[in-house]
Amino acid sequence: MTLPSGDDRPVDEPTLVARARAGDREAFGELVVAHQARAYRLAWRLTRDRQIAEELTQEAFLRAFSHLENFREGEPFRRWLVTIVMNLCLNEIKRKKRAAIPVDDRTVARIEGQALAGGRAGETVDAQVATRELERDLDREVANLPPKYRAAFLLRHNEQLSVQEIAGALGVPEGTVKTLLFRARELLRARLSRHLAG
Amino acid sequence: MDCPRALRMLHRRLDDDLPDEAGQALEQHLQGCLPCRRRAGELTALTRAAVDLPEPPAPDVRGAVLDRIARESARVALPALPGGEPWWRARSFWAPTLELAAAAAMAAIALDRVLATVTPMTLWSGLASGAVSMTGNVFDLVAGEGPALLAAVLAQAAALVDMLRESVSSLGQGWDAFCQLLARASESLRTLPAVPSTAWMILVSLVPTAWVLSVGVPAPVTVFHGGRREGLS
Repeated sequence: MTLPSGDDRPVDEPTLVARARAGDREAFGELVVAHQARAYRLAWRLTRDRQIAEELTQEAFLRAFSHLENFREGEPFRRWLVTIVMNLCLNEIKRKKRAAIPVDDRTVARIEGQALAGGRAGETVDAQVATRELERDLDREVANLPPKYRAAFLLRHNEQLSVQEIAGALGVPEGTVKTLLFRARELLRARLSRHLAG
Repeated sequence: MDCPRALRMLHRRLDDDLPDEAGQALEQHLQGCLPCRRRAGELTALTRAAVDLPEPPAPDVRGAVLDRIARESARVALPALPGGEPWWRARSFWAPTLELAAAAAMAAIALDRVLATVTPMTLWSGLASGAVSMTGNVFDLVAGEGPALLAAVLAQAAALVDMLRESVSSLGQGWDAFCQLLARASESLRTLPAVPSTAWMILVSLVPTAWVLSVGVPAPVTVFHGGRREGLS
C-alpha cells in the first residue's frame, strides 16, 4: 500500500511501519504526515474542540509509536490509528461529559466559506447551495448525537470503514454497531426531514 | 415484504450487509411502495452528505509529535553494564544505604532535641523521685493547671521505683552507669558546633530525596531499548 507523502512521493506503508518499529523516527514522521488529517478530522468531529482535537491527535500518534509492537502486520495503519483516536476521544468525551456540543457560529461560517468555494460537478448553483445547507445542518445534528452513535455514524459514512472495522475500533460486537448505525441514521433522518424531503 | 422489514433491509444495504437476492426483493418492494421509496431516498441523501461534511483545516502535528517522542525518550534509565553493575553503582547497595542514612539522620535530630532540654540525670531523677514536678510541669504546659490526681499517681509510681532501686543495688548501679553514659553522650553532643536548624532540615530533606532517586521515579518514566519505546503511560 502506498501513501501520499508531504511532497507527493508515494511511500510504502509496511516499509515505513517496519522502520518505525525499529526506532526510525523519520519513518514514523512520514506516517504522521500521511494520516494526521484523517486523525484530526475524526477527533474534531467527535470532540468539537479544535485545541482538544489537536492534542488528542498528537496523543494518538504518540501512543501508536509507543505500541508499534502491537500493530498487526498487513492491517492498514489507518484502521489501527482510527481505533486509537476513537478511544481517546470517547474517553475525553466521558471525562468532560461532552455528550452534545453545538458547533460555534464562527467555526460554521468559516467552514461554510470553504465548502461553498467548491461544488460537485454537474450540480446547479441551487443544488450546490441546498447540498451545503444539508451538510451544514447534518454536521450540527451529528454533533448532537450521543457519543457512540456519533462515532459509529462518522466511522461508517465519513471514514468509510466497514461494520467489522467499526466493531473493532469501538470494541463492541458487529450487531451492536448495526444497531448504533440504524438508530443514528433514523435520528438524523427525522431531524433533517426538512432538507431531505426536497 | 412488509414496510418494517424493508426499512431494516434499507439499513443493511447501507451497511453493505445485504445479499444480492434480498437486494432484489427490496427493490421490488420499493417500486411499489412510495413511503419506503421516499425513505430510501432520504437515507441515501443523508449518507452521501456525510461523506463531505465541512471541516476545519487540519494542523501539521508532525513536528510536535516527533519533539515529544524525542523528549520522552531522553528520560532514559541507566543501561545495564556488561558483566553486571559494580557494587558502588548497584541500586541494591544505594537504596538500603540511603534508607539507613535517612533513619540515622532523623534519629540524631530527635536525640539532640531531647537531650537539649532534659539531661539523663534530670530524667532519671524525675522518674525516680521527681515525677510530680516533672509531670506537673508537663501538664501545666499542656492543660494549664495539671491534673493533680494523675500527678499523684505518678508520684506513687516514682516512689515505688525508688524502692525497687534501693533494694536491688546491682540494678541501681546499672541504672547509674546508663545515666552516666547518657550524660557523657549529651555533653559530647553539646561540644559539637551548633548546627543551625535550617541546615539540619536541608540535610534531612536531601537524604530522602537521594533515596527516592536511587530507587527510581515511578511511571511515566520510559525506557529505550534498542530503539523501541516501552511502557508509555
